Amino acid sequence: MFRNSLSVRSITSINNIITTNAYRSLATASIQSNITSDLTPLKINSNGSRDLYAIFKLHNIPYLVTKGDKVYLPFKLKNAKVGDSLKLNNVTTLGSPEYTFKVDQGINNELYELKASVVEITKEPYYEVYRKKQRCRRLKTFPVEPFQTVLMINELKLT
Amino acid sequence: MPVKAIARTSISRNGVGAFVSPCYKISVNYCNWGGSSTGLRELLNAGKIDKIAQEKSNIIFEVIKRTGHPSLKFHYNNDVVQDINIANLKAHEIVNKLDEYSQRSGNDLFKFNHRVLSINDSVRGVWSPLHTPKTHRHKI
Amino acid sequence: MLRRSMIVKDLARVSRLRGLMSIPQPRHYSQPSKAVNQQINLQHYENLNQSTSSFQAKYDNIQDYGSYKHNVFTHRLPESTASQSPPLVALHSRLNLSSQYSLSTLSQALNLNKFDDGLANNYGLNILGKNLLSYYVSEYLLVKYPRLPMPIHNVAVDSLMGSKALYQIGKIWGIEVDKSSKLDKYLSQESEFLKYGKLRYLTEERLDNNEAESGVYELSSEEITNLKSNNNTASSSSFISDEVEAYGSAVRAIIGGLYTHQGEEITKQFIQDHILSRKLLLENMFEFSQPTRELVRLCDKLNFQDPIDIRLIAETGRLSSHAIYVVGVFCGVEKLGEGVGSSMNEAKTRAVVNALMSYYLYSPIDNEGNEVKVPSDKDYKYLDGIVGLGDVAI
Repeated sequence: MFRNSLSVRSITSINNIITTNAYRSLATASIQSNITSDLTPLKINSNGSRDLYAIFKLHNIPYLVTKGDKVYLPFKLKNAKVGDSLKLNNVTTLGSPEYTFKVDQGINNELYELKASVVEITKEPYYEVYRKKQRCRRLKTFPVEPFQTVLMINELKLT
Repeated sequence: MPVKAIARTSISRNGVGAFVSPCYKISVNYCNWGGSSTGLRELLNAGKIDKIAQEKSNIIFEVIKRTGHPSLKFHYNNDVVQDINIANLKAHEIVNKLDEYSQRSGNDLFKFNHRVLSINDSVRGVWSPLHTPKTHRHKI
Repeated sequence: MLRRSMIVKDLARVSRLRGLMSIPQPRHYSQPSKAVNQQINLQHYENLNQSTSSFQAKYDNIQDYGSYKHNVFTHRLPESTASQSPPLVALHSRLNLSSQYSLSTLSQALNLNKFDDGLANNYGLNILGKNLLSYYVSEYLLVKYPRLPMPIHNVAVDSLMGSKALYQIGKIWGIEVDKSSKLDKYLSQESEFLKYGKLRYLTEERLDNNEAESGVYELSSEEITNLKSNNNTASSSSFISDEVEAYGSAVRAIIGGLYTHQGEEITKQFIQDHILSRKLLLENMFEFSQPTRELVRLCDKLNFQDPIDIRLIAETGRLSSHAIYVVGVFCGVEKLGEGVGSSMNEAKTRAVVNALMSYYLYSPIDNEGNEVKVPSDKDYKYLDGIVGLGDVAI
């Protein structure tokens, strides 16, 4: 019943007035967890979602974010273009200064709202990797210039 | 006066609220004579640049005829102009360059060894060893 | 002069690619802005325009206001011309404006010249945008931070909608300044449509004796007076150049134009997206001269019964070179603030400042724990704690 860890698939589109190129992913695997809780203490302690952090997972890697943070992904996010708005729906932890709500399988999507916009798709600086094989006098040179995607956390609040 | 104020300009967070693409202008320089501009001339003749300009309607396209190797100049809103040499590139490679550089922000490339860049204060604050009861504190 | 222009002539051949994708639709004028344009020409415009005499008002009798006539007639850019301007169409698209927002209004918002080929300038739109901005920004700040002292509130408003902030926003929007004079334009065969999408605030004389050296330019008379008055107040960092002011005016006018075309709701959304979404550095704006005294006064005002008490919570390394003290400010059993410092005095001051900041930066939430709504929101309800008690005097 719980969400699988294919997080890139779980990015769903949202219709924002501001985004021109509405982005739709091919498959949306948004099976929600059945755990529902009353998050009022968290809401009040976070001063109306102002002091709130969330840990979301993308490709099973956790990212701890607050609103207005930039997330640097060391890869090119599939099917995403600059200006797209993403809804991140694999959140494992929500925390205020004094409370933490943690569900390892993923928190029910209806309890929070976490959105990010794709701000930049660029590359990391160019460098070269050298490899030396045994019994071969030459060095092999591999150029490396990996992609980098920058997300800006647009919205983080408890609903 | 009890409190004096220190003027500070607010910090822009592009992408929170509205997103405005950082690349606002692309100058396409081509030469009508040289062989290194063949790919670009092909694009221009086929009207593909027009099509790209229509797709990227938020970017000004400027086509300039100039002798020498062809180049693409990307103007970003942080006053950075990136000049990309596209000599001898084929048409589809030029289109790739256009797509790639128009999605950048004009900042210098850098490797970020952490995951999240934040300008907010930490929600939990900094851990302090002095806030445990006195009996539990670490003693030197 | 000649040589530079010739180089330009060889290089610049601007295609009208952008013009191909214009949206040919009949557009309606925004009547209010036009009316405002004609009414307010008896005032000064933000130091940027010259005296009112250039409007050449004529009258039979100085006291007979009905006989006042202007000999200068302005017109708006035709929509067909505006849609031929690549920068204008691109700006329209960058800001995600709807097709209701006419390109001619956008072009007018970028024109600060009082008499530029008889085109209407952004005077009225600018005032409209300024008022809208100051309403929504101050509403936001007053509701979100009801206890902000007045000087901080003013600076906070400035940090969101002051000229410098709006200059940055204008830059982010990719607005360019029209820096070439008529002669340059003629020599480089620049398309006449280009300038309609650029920020026009430089007069023809200033364009003609343009930068002798890049990065060096001659100050206008307004800038010189501005600079001199700033020198007297010993805060030369607050000097605002004409360019900064012009960008600010254009941004405000674009917001004003949005209001005339699409109404209040959309304008509010636009202001929230572009201006209120910026990061406000409120914590860095406070400068306390006598924090302890201020805190005592504040507690008096709030009718706290117990006296202010400063107590040491923890310490380490008192005899070492790196002592650390943790000090708390208490009122009875309530801890108001806490500070860490390398001396008792430092820790105490930090604790007091912390207590003051936590009072001033209080931000209310409603019963369900949501952020409070501002009065211009739909189902706004008045809540206690939204009106501050006012400042304290030392």
